[in-house]
Amino acid sequence: MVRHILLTTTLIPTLLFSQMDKPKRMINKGLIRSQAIISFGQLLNIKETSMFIHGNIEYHTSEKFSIRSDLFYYIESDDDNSLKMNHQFFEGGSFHIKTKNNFDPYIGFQPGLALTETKTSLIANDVNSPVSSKAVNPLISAVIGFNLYATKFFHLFADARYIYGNHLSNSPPVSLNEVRVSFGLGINTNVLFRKKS
Amino acid sequence: MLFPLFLFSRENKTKKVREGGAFQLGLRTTISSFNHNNSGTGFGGQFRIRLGKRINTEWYADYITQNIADLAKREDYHVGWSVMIYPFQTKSTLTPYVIVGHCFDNTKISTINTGISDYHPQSESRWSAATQLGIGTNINLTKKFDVSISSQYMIHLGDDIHADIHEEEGMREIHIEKEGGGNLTLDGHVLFTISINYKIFDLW
Repeated sequence: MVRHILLTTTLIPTLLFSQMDKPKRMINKGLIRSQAIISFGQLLNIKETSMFIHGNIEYHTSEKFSIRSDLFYYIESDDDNSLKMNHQFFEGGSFHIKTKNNFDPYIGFQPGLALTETKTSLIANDVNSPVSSKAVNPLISAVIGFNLYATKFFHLFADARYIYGNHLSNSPPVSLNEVRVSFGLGINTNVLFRKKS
Repeated sequence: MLFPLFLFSRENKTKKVREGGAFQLGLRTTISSFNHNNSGTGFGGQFRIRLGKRINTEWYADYITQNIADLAKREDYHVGWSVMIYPFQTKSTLTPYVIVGHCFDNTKISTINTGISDYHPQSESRWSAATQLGIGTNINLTKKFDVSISSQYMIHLGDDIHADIHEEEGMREIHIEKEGGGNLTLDGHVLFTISINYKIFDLW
């Protein structure tokens, strides 16, 4: 049984990345990549864990630069988390460090907006103001990560993001400072690809 | 006399490159320090139209929120424009500039319900015009893509709006005040902006 597991765990990555022996660089102008994944974060000031459905789309305007949009849909947990809603949208760009193969490290900067709402229990003795604490607040984020283009249409990715912001509404503020990680499998293609005759 | 001659002497020898007319689109984040302990965080966008080798223009909009001692929030909406003047060579990775401009803005300060039993919401807002002056630099990462960092001082000309915090019987209280009634006042703050910009096309 152990041998089977060992064989499987060794063989699958070998098969997946067998094309990397003769790398044809795929990180060029026109490369478009996308992903949909579950990501996790740690709210630093209030020591709470958060979970999101994370979707993004990224387009390379050149080998070194890409435009990127990210959407995080907050999954509300049943525990004592402060936030009922924390959906976030980021838009920005990434600078890619050129390598000789299809390993694609990058750093990015993305300003964003958060649609947030605290759980009603935070507002005690609330008699004179509306119950809803829903608000839109600006965010600042920096991303560091890498993509590994294994095949023509799929890649592995991992990134870590630092987010700075505050939930400000008519209820007590909640810090949105967070470190968030995402990793998994994404899809990619080059929309400007022309077959050379 | 010699210094300006030396600065501009290379311009005649260099090949003429079209630098005016570049249209850039960008996103920005702004950190704003008002007269309170906490700083504000902003999200915004901009476009730039370059008028010449040493002059660029920036047209922007920002939304900035700030937490005032956990008792109130301040919201600022800025819509404005700036002129960027490049005093040095524009071909290097770092292109410093002096920035000066003008904006219209709306400011609103409203209280936060902290849970006290006799909470009464307060809110004040004002419209004002502002002018700003600062320095910054473009970090040209590729031919079309740059990151820009700038620091500016912005002075608002309009009614004064502010929040006063004081302690009463061991509890912090806040009062939002708007003063003016035709008497314009000056209210200043520092803006630190990071933006990313991408050249889309040449307008001419």
